[in-house]
Amino acid sequence: MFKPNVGGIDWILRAGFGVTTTYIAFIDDKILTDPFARWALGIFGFIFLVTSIFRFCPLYRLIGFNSSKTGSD
Amino acid sequence: MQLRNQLLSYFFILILAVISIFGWNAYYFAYDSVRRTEHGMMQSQLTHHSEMLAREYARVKTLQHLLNHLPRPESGELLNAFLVRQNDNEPIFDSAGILPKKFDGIVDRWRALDSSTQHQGNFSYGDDVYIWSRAPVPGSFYDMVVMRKSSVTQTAPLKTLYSRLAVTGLIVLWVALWVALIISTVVSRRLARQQQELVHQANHDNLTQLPNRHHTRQLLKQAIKQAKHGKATVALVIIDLDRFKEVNDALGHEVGDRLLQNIAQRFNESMWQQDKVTRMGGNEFAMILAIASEDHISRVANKVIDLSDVPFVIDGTPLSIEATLGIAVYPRDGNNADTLMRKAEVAMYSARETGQAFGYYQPENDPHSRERLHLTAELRGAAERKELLLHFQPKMNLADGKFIGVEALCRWNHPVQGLIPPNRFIPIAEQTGIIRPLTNWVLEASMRQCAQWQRDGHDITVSANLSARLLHDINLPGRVAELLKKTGFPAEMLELEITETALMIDPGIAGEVLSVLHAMGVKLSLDDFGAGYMSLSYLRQLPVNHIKIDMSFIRNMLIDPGDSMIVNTIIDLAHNLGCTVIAEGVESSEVYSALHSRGCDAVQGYYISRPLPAADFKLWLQKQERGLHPSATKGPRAL
Repeated sequence: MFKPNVGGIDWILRAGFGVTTTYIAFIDDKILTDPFARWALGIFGFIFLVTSIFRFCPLYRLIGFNSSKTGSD
Repeated sequence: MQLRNQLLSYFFILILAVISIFGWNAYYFAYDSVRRTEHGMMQSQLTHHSEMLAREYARVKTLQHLLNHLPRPESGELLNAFLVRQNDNEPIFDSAGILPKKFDGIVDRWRALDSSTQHQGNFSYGDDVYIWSRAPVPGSFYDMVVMRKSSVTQTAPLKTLYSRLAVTGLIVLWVALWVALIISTVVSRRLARQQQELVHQANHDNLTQLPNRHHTRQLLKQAIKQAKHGKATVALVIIDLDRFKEVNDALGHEVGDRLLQNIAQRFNESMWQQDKVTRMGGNEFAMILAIASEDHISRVANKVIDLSDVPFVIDGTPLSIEATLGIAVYPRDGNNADTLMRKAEVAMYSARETGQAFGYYQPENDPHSRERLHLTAELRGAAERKELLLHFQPKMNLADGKFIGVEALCRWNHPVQGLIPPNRFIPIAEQTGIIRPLTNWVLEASMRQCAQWQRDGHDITVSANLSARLLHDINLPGRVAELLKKTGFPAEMLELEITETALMIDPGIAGEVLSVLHAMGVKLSLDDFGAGYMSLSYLRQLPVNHIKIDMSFIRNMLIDPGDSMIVNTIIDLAHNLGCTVIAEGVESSEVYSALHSRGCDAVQGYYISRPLPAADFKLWLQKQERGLHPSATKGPRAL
């Protein structure tokens, strides 16, 4: 459906950041206690997690950038 | 892309700076407000306790009583209170364990500050911050000090604030980065597009949108570079449109421009994909054939010629053009773009001169080739070095078989290369202007030689060739008259041979020059007749005495009925115009007899004699006068 445009170190960083932030936001309740901060971080991190799962970033498409080796726009 | 990265890094730095200032301000605002609250609370506690101690001191005026009524430290809060003597700022502790042991160092730290003059403050000890307040116990000589560990770092609201600040800062940074990224992409794309347009404009011709001369050079350089790796050949084809100026003059520049656009479009659409069509300027186009086999080059050349043969219809008017192509090939003709461009142009000009539609580069046609430059330099001094010599070829009357005169032909005996044929050095002389002194030399030498023979008792008419350049020189008759006078040779015995093509360059001036020569008594003969394209009405006006039929017709007249018919026609035409006819290139008795029977007046050719050096010619002449057959003296067929 979408041509992958996220790859390499970009993909690894996104996945790492996404997993860490969702863990801090929804699983561990000691690092962040404030609910607002947890939800905000959770939603923010979730975006990273989703883009790394699909290996597709719509904003990359908008600016014509591609960090994936499999193809270019 | 570089510009975008630059813009992006500026944005990034700006956003980081804004977030840092904002975060720093928010943090200190929160910190200050908590600290102020703590101090306020401490102050009210202190006031309460000092009033209570004052009451106790009024009741029992002993230090021990005061110490007994100091508030006890509450567990966990680390609130401690002690007395300080007002005159020496010495803290007084109760020995019964009011202060925990670790508190000693903290009080020492407090004493080290300028604590005697201040009422409250804070200081750090170890990893913690402590706040304190001091107030006098009314009616005594003691002050009361309360001190506790600040809870600023543990305050829940502050912690909440920090976490919110961190998370929102992160999100703001992320959003701002994307905004920056998008803005910088849009800006850099627009700039790149503008730059691309500028580059395109600089490299392309406005009218046809084809690469211009400058860009052609670059493209050619690239093609050569690529060809070097693959050991391939690259061909540059220069296309000159011969009749374009007429269109411009007759129909205006607007039509000319549209014609150029149509031509460019037709060329561009019909060519093979890997071949690049460019415009060199004016009415000159070019093609770069990146992988150029001989086959492909000639296919392209023929295609261009076919394409230009089909008329272009502009505003309902069919316009036809003629293309002349010059081809230079890497690596054969040169290994850089400039050389190929120059050589393709040379090839184009020489193709046009010889009336061909296209031609490859040939070093002998190039006025700037090394060999030609050498020859040109050497040719200049050839006459002085006595390297030039004359050969004489006799002409014979067909009616009585008698010798009637000679044609003087120039030869160059080069010290290294030996005898150089005229077709190699005459074009050089014509292009460089050496033809003028050269013709002078030929005329003078031949007249001098014939005058000598005349004195020896042989009446010989001599003919010499006149080049196109000299035919348009109005000083020529004067110079000829001078030479006649100098050598004492009679004008009636001199014959000048001119070609049709030379005459047609500027018939007005040529006609004038010829009339003056004719008036002087010099005979004129029209050389290579039939090979050019002269108007008959012009021919009728010319004061010509002889017409020489081009040898190409004579050679094949017995096999080719067309040539035979032309020979007949020229003979009739010449006779009708009152001229005598001389056939050149007669090589056999059959041709000799055939010409005789057709009424030709005179012949010249190997059958009579090849061109001979002066001494040999004299021998030939003597034999001739003794009545020997001309063919007996036929020499080898070398010029």
